[in-house]
Amino acid sequence: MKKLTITAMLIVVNLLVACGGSSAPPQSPASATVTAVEKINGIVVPPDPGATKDDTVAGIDTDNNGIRDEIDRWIATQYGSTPGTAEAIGMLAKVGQKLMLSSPKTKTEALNIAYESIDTGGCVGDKLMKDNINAGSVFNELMLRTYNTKARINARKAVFELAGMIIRNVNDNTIICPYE
Amino acid sequence: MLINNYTLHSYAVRKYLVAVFIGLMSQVALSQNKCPIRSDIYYINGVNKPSEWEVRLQSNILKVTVDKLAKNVSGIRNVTYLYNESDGFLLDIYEYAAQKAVERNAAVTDLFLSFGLTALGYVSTITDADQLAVRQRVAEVINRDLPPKTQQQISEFSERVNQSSLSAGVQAVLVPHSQGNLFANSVVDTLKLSEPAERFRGLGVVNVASPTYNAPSGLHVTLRQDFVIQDAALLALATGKLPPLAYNFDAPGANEVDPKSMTGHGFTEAYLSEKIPTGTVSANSAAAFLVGKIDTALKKTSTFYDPPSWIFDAQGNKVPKPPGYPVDSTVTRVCFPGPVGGAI
Repeated sequence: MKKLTITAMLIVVNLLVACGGSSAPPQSPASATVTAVEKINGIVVPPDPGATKDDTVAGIDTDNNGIRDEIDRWIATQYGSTPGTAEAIGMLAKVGQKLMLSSPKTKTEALNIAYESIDTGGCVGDKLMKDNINAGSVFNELMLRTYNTKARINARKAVFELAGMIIRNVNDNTIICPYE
Repeated sequence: MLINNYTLHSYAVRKYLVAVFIGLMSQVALSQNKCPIRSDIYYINGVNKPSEWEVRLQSNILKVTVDKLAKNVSGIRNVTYLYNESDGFLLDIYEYAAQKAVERNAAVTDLFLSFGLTALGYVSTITDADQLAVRQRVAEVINRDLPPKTQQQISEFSERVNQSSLSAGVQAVLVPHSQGNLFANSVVDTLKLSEPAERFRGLGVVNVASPTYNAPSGLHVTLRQDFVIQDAALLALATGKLPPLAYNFDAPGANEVDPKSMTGHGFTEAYLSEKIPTGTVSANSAAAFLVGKIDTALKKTSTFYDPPSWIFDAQGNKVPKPPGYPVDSTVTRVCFPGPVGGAI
């Protein structure tokens, strides 16, 4: 009987430990994944960054995909229902963020990132037009969402000021466009 | 048979055939020399295009549209774009939004987004009065004088047009949109002063949605439905300035092609649209009307081969070309002069 009591106590202790019965909160990997994942139009999106999203130039990018969280969520909400479109706009959002954070030191560095951004615009624009989406509207809205504070506008402005006036033929290209 | 053999093998006949062949080849070569092998179109964006993405896309669309609709653009059609980071448009709108935000104790970024979207023709949640104020602000921006920094850029760009096109005997047509017209007209003034008349004749301008009163080539396109230019005209009237060029194309529906492009001012949305039905003119779309103007500019311009009289020495300095210096075969050609005075 005594043996049985001890065994029963051990089982209870084990169960308590297994269920997180200590002072630490329960850490079931399965339940953590379930609560973290949010989908918009079937696309997994990062959590809403909230009011602090504009506190720094870089902003919040919890999934480290190169796109700020609020922009990830906007893309999924607006374009997630069109297959391929959200990915294309994401490509543009990513290059916009990259340009903003590039802090080039030389004219050549500034031109390199400027060209990459310009060429991504041409590539994604053609894709959107093929999808019958007004590319100009998407560009304008994404631009205003990406550069939505004075610090971000200034970061972008610094790149183009260093690059200087750009005169370029439409046939020049620096990227491999996945939609061609 | 005897006659045939005689005909085919006769020395005289063979000599005649060779002469005809050479003559034909000469004609082909001459005709190639007479006509431009390349037409350069320079697109200069307006201040209301804050995005380098859009400038690139607009240039792509301009190239495709010219390729499709132009009748007089022969040979290779080059489209070159100038991307000049809009000097202050975004900042200007931002500052305006910031000012309003302080007045209303609202979040600056929210108002900035809302004002920015309205300025670009989006349906916005801000009031009608504020939307009107934003449009008037845009009109002010596109009307204001070019900043001093731009003067340097005008010289740089003029030099590029001259070196890449005009002095190589290639016709060049500037296609500026919105505030880009101020820039383009200054480029024309610069080249007119600096270049010999024969070379300058190779330059034309088609002013698109111009807030200015000046069309150097006498070729412009302004839509009746362009609200931004309408506002610019009202502003000019109020401030005693000369009004912008009058509209010359009626495109009913220009403001309705896309519910999010309602200013009727967009380069591709309105001016390069092939969907807009025509109103009072014969061309069947705004795009066809615009490309028709580019065609006319190319008809009016003319070029001649005018190789530079200098070369670069080993140290990269410009030195006079020595006698007997070989002609650059890549650009050797002659284009007959057009009407006196050219397009300008």
